[in-house]
Amino acid sequence: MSTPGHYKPSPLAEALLGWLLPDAGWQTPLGDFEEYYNEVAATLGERRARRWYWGQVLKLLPDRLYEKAFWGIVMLTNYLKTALRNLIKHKAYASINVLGLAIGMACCLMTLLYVRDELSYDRFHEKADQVYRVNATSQNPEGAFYRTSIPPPIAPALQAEYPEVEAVTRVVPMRRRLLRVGDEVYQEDRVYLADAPFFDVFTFVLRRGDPETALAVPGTVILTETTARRYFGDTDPLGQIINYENSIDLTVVGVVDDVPSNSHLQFDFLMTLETPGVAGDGWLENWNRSATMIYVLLRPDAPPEALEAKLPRFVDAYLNDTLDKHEVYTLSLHALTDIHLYPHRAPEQVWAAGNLKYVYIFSIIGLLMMFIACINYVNLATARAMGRAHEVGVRKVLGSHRSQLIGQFIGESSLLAGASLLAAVLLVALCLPAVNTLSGKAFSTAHLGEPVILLGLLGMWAFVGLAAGSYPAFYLSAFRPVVVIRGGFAGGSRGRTALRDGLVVVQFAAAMMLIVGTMVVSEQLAFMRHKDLGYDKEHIVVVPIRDQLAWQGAPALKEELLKISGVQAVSFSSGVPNAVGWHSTAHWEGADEDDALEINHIMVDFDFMELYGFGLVAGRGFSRDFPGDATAAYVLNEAAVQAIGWDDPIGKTFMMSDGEAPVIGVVKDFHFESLHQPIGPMAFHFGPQWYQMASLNITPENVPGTLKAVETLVQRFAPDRPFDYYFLDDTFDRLYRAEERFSRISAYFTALALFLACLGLLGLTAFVVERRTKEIGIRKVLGASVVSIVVLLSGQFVRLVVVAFVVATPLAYLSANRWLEDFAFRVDLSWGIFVMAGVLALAIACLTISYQSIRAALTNPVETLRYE
Amino acid sequence: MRLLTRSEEFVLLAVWKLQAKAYSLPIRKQITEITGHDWSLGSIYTPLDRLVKKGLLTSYLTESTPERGGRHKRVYQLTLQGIQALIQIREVAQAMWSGVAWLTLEGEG
Repeated sequence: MSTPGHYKPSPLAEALLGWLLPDAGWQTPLGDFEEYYNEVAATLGERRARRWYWGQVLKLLPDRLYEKAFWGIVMLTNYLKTALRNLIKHKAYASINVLGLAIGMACCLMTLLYVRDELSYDRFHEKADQVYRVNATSQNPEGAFYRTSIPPPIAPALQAEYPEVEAVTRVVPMRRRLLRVGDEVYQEDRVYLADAPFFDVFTFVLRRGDPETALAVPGTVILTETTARRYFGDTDPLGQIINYENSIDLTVVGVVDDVPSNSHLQFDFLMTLETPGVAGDGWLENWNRSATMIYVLLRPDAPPEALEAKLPRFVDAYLNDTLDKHEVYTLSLHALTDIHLYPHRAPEQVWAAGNLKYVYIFSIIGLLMMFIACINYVNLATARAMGRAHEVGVRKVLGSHRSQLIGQFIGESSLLAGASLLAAVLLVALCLPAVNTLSGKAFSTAHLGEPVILLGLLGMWAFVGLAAGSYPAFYLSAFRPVVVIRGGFAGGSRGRTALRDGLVVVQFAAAMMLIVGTMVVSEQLAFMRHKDLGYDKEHIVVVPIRDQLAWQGAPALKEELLKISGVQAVSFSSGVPNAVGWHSTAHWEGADEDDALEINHIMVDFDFMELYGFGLVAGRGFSRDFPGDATAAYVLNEAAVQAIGWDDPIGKTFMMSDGEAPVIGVVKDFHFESLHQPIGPMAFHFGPQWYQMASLNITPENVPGTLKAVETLVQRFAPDRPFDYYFLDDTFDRLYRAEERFSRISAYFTALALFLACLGLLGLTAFVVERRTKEIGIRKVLGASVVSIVVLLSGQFVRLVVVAFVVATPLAYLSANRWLEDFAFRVDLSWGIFVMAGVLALAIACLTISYQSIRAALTNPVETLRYE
Repeated sequence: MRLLTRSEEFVLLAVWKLQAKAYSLPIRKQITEITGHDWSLGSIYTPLDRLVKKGLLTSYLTESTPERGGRHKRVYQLTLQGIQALIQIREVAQAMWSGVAWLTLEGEG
């Protein structure tokens, strides 16, 4: 037989019983039950024993559950009541807390919206994970050229060659296209050419029209919903005719949903790629022209790496004839979902691309803001702990467990966090329009309801409730009742003020880093805007011209333009200094077999260099005195000469796709790309057939009159085309739009971070002043001056801000440097910026502190010491 | 004098009888054996607690045994008041019974 002690009741039942039994001395009854269990098990068998045990548990259940729930609710109402009373009693603290947390959470929420949007690019396509863009890199000894457009016949060849390619589509985005319906003429920037598999590869929903023939029939066009309404109003768009570039009549055969804002392809019109007349004959079979973007859809089980590995052989088989022998041409696959975040897949350019960098920066800023707000909460809660000490003591005396108290305080912070969260959501909803103009995004309140965002909100709530709540909770619940109630409790021991001080330092360090960041960004922006680019950009109007006008009409138009009183000079060219748009491969006299240079070039006329004021380093510019210049002459920039390695370039023979000619001059380097890039080699030569722009140097007086006259004139020469022009200096803003936006957003964040930090400081000062009222009174009685008391009170906080400055400076220096690395031309980080950030933060902090401290210093000691 | 309920009376008496072994299980066992009813453990705890509250019993914890899962026993002991109460009960009972010559279910014949 088994001896007693061998039987154990089921652990579950035992645990349940333990939970149900009254708290005090529950160990003994549990022992009794177990002993009896053993007795029954030994005599009547374990089954009976188990039944008995469970019976006991179940009998106990209803009564005890009721009791527990009852007391739970009683305690909960009590906690709620205390929490609310506390909030109402200390309205200022409560509002500082809610306001601070709400602002912090709102910032965090906005960055969450931004990050979610950035990361969601092109993910709405059903097969997003299987779609890749085929990119090309052509590598020369002088450098790599990266292209997203590649020769069109690659598409059918890929499809035929590789079974894992399910579909291939070719896409060509076009700008400044002229569309006409009846008499209405529109100029459109979002016209795309695409072929039929477009709808297999991408998920753009065809609302109207036949999906079988969409983009398959030449001479047809598909509109987005908004565009269809814009063009045809309420009339049925299907079957309508739109004229393209005064040459082709397109039939509208379909309507697609508007393109989501988080698509990297942004179109209003989809024209069938094979429509004759949109480009030269046979362009789709031309292996020499990088004319189309090509997207492949892979089978779900096909790894892109495997296909990518086969592409070098593909290049050998199909493209070898078209390449120079020193040119290494590589095709690579760029995942659709990466295109927005890493526009250039070449690894060294990942950061320069911008988008991903700002995702990181904004995530960090958002978290930082919330962190600052949480610090406010922790600091104020611990600073005010004195006020709650008696409550904790009394509760403990009345039998509260520490766990109950922790629960109570965490519950309180969750309550506060919940209220702040609601305020934050409201704040964001109200600010959305402003946020949209600032960020260039199109957020709506509907975005706030998305699962990811809701999850984020929940996370924020939990984070603030627990992270900010747990420290005060553990701190407060640790009070020993005897000490607190007797009144010997002194509030802040050294360790606790040290923590509070540390947190204030962190806050101000973060705020100062943001200040430095904002100042560096705006300095760099100003630097880029005002940097001497090496040519004149003021008072220059650019008028795009096209087709028949380009070279037959040019001399006549020029003559007429110069007759307008406000026009000082006119030049025709293929591009302007900040929009070159042409590059080619160059060779030169004395070059080795393998030497070649990828070079940018502009086709110009005699007046171009003078109009833009390029500085000459050697030789001469194009001149009417040398008629030969119009057919065979090159002007290079310094970078080109340096790349070639000529000491004396004048008269040397230079060769580009257009032909051989001597170099007649060298111009000083000028910036034809954004300042992110170093200056590359550049060549000028004549080429009237390529003229696309007229640059007009106008007088600053009566600009509208001059423009009107120019318009009338150009309309006379090109009646079919709407007059279009822009000021050259306006276009620079586009180059630095990302930085401009970042500069403005970071300014707002900085202001808010400072505000939050000061809010916390305000609360802390108020607390310290309150604690030291009597001390101040006594000091005043003993003859202390107002100034000395203000200094005394402010000193401890000013010290913290100074420490924050010391901490923040190296960190700010490193991160600012990291950001500036993306610019080939950048400002030097001067000490001035850091000092200014420190002084600014210090000044604002002093202002915050001074209100409370001056008020305290001015108080009549009679008021404070009356009751002693 | 304070009147006790019947169960309190039984428990008090059982504690006296069991002396050093007076904890819940033996108490229950004894009462069950004498009355012939199956007393549950819970129905022992209530009078025990009440007697402690009234100051007739005190308790202390003793050694733990393996069959109790390593938990202590709570052993009860009569206080002076408890002993007085028992004496009183006995006196009252005897007083009540005195004069009853005989009592049986059989008829007088």
